[in-house]
Amino acid sequence: MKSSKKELKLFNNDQSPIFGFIILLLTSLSLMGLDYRKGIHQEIKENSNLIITPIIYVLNLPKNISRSFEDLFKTKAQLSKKNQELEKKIADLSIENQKLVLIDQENIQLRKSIKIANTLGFDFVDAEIILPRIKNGKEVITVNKGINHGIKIGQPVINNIGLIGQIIFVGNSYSEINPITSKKYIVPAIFEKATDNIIIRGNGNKYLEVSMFPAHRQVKIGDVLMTSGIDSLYPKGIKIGKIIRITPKANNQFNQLLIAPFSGPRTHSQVRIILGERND
Amino acid sequence: MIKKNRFITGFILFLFTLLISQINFPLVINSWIMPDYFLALFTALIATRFLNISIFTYFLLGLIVDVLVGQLIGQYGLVFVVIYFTSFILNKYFLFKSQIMQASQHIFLTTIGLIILLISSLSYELSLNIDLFFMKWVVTCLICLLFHKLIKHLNIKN
Repeated sequence: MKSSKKELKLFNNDQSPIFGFIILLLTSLSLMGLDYRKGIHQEIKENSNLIITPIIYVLNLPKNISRSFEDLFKTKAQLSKKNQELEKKIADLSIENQKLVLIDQENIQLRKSIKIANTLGFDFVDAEIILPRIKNGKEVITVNKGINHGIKIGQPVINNIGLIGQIIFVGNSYSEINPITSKKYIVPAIFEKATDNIIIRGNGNKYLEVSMFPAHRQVKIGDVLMTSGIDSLYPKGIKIGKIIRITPKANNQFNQLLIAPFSGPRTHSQVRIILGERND
Repeated sequence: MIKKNRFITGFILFLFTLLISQINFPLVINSWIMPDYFLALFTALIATRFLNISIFTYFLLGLIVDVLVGQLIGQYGLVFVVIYFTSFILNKYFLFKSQIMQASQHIFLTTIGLIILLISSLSYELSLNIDLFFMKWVVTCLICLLFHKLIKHLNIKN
């Protein structure tokens, strides 16, 4: 009777994988713990980017082919028209530039007179976004510059509208950017009027937030936030976003600030990666 | 010969999933709404026993997925191992004959996988947006059922 009970296998006659299950459960938990502490995933991923690079190439192939054809079949008239427009733009910009040269010189003199170091001198690399933002359910921006162009993990990414994010992975010829709206993103910021230093984090949706801002500090909808530069990573004064909602917390001691980033997910195709301070 | 054909088919499905996991749909800007393609594929593969490989091989495949698209090494490995074991237990006590029963099995396994991925995620928070998680669950289940249909179709062909 006892032996017949043991032989009861119902609908699945395979051998029970309970032993393997327990071993693999413990192994995977240990691996996850080890990876969380030592960051081995990043190293393995860097060495395995040979697999991902062809996929990125294949995905961009239709766009590249259409762009090549577009370039090929652009008429002379279109090009000359564009040339005229560009020349006009250059003229406008050179006039603007003349003003800026003067302002820049004045700025240098003023900085010297009040002995403030010029923190805006940074080396940078321009890059193009080659893949969209969501990869297997995770927010990521992929750009066409990598180790070969001097990119390193942690470098900030900006464009002419404002802050975009931070490099989280570097391959030989491509890099991945964690956008500012990602939950894993934190940046020290300051109000445009230089009143308060705060830490902002992405909320995993389209916005950033400050979860606990003291209620007695003055703040209003529309206030602009910029990088404070106290982390020595982001240059000071890069626009981040503006406050769009102020929600009092339960005990009314704090407010939650919701910030709309200036540089939204669809506002850029070209980005600028800051490599570090310029060595003049 | 059939086994070899199945391995080739499985490899093609894997590459196809890797490709679509790098593409996002227009107008979808929230990552929470995007399905987890690899979870959907492997749930369908395990539940249909298409490849007929051991729990250890699924664990190794999980590690490869971790390297390619995961956040932590071992995360997908853990998910596939749990799904395999759950599927084994389910198949021991239940006979999944009808389409609805098989669909329920897939949805149940996908739900378990998504919950494990959620709680082992680096960005896990207690204040979870349930609506968005529900959306992710729905689309992942749909993709899983599509993979199930595709695998069944390939099974008949083989």
